[in-house]
Amino acid sequence: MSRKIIGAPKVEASRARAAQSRSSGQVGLREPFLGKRLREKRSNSYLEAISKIDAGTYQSNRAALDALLQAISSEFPELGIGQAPLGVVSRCFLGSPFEVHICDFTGEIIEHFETCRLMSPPFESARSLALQPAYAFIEVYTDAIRAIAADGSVSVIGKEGDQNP
Amino acid sequence: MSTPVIDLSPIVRSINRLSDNLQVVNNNVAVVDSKVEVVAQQQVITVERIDELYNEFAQFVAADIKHKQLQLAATRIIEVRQEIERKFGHYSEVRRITTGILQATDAAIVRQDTMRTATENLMLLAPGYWLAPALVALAAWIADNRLLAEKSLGEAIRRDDSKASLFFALVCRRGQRLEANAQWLRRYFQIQNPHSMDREVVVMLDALANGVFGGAALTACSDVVDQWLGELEEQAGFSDEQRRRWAGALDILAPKMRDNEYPTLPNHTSAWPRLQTALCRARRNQVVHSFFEQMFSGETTVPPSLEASVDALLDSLVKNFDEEELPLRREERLLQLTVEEQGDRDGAKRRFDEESDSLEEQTNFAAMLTNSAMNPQQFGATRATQRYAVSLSRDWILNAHKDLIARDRAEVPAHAELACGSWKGSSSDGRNESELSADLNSRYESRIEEAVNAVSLSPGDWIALIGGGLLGLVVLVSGAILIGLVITGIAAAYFYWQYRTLDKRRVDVREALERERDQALQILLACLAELADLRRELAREDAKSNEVTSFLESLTAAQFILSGPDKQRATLAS
Repeated sequence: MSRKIIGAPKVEASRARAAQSRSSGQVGLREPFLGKRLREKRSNSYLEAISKIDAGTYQSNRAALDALLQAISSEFPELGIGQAPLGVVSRCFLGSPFEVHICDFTGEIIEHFETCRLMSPPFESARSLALQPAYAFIEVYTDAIRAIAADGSVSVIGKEGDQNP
Repeated sequence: MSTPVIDLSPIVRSINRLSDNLQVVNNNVAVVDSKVEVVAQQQVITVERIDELYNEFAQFVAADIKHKQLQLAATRIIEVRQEIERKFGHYSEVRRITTGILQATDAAIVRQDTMRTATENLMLLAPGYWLAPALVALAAWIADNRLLAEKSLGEAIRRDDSKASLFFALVCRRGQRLEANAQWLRRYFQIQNPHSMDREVVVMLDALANGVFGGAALTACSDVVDQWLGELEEQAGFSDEQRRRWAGALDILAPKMRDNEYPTLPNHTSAWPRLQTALCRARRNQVVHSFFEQMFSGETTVPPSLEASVDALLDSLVKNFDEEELPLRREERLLQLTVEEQGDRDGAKRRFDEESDSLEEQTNFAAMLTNSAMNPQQFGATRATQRYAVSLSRDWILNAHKDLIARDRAEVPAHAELACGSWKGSSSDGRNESELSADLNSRYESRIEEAVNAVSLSPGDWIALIGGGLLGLVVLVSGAILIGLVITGIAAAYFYWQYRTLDKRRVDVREALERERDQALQILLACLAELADLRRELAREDAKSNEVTSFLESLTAAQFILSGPDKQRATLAS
């Protein structure tokens, strides 16, 4: 059985953020600046926000979840639509049978997954890396995945970091 | 009236004889049965031997192909070298005379007329070659013949502006003409395009890294290198391409696995190719670390004088960078790699593809850095240049290394499916030995029970009994008592014999399956032990990736520029 902490229904805060993003007319970064930006070390506040997902405060506290999503979105303020990560996958420390969890930035869902249950397609490809102790969490993008180490450094697999051209 | 006595003794004797004969038949059938069993066993052995033979044949064919490729490459490489010598051998004379003229001038023991005659002869010997007019200009310059010097310079520049400019920059540096040296360098830089550079830029890097250019020239070179890299980095996709290039260069350093390192696991898990790849890639960390550590450890050889340094660079410039030779040089390199790979053409091709940039006429400046660091022998780049190139490329190498590690980690199979005999199971690290052993025993126990229970009288046996009995009865009723009894007796005897052998057949089946179970258990235990060893080794080798990261992070470019040999001091990389 999965633990869906917050479901799909949007709340005012998320709508406000989306509206703010649209009204600012943000077109995002172009290459090569986008690649460089996404290669930069992630901030401590961002790492800390992601690490709190296991704390479980989001289950009953919508305000806490909004604060988490705000911390995450403020990590990439300059990115445009389609440039930011779809979400992150990381190891779950809730204990057996849970193995990994997703924080889906677009659906604003935190969901924990058991060992044998598959995540949705863009996230499942990050599972094996998420289980590696060398990485704090994995960011999932439309065309790549980025593994974030505990010190915030970034490794890329996929379009940009393709080692087998 | 006396009661008629029926003498049944002949019938009894006949039945007894029949019984004896049936016993004989029974024995013979048992013999046939045992022989059939032997034949069945031999068939199994034959199939196994045919499989072994097939594998050995496939290995033989592969080894034979490799052997033939090796022989072919060894023969062809001689032909290619002969062809290079035949087509471009006359250039050697021109090349040798370059440093000869300079050293003769240093010693002041050769007449200027001799030099002039010699260089003019070379113009006739090597038509179209840029170096010949350059040498005429050099000799004219030494003889203070300005008109001839300028005329020949014009011709050398027309033939190859880039090489001629660098050549005279070095010659001026050798003669301590610093202003002229700076002017030639400026000219050289002006005609360079960092997106598409000639290969001889490595000589400039060599001069820079070895401290040949001092003062304003050193600053100019360093600035222009930074400017080129900045210009390239602004191009979309460049950094990614550069990371890919480094990732490819590092990836081929993964060592191959030796035969029989893990003797059991490969034959009993479909995950073996992925496990093997994962382990080889993890072992690459040590190779990469040693590669960079060796590159940066020890002292670089600093020539005793500025003249010697420049002579070495001039030698490299005139020998290693002529485009006309490149097609043959490429073929020579591929053949050489085929020999190094013991005839493995695919392996040689993979290595060649990774370094093929170094044998292209033109490529971008960053690719030149990669090639100088990874394939210095193709350019004659020195150790100092290797260090400088790696230091300049540090961020790309670090990112490439991290990306490769992430890819490797993502592709390590989480579980290995195991197949031992008829049993199948799965293990991640070999630690679930007791669980899997119990499962194997339990499944074999079920299989043995099923197989033993399946051993029973067949429908054919019952048909023989009932059909024979009915037929005997019919014959008996029709009056042929003896024949009827015989038929019934045969049917009964056959059925009885089949019934008596049931237990033996059950024991045979049980014993055969128990043997198979024991073998499967041994294989399972060996597989799990090897899997545990492999996972441990994988973790150990994977951890070495941090050593590579730490080592590369400690490098900076500036510390790898040596001070000039004319300053009689060498700041060695540490």
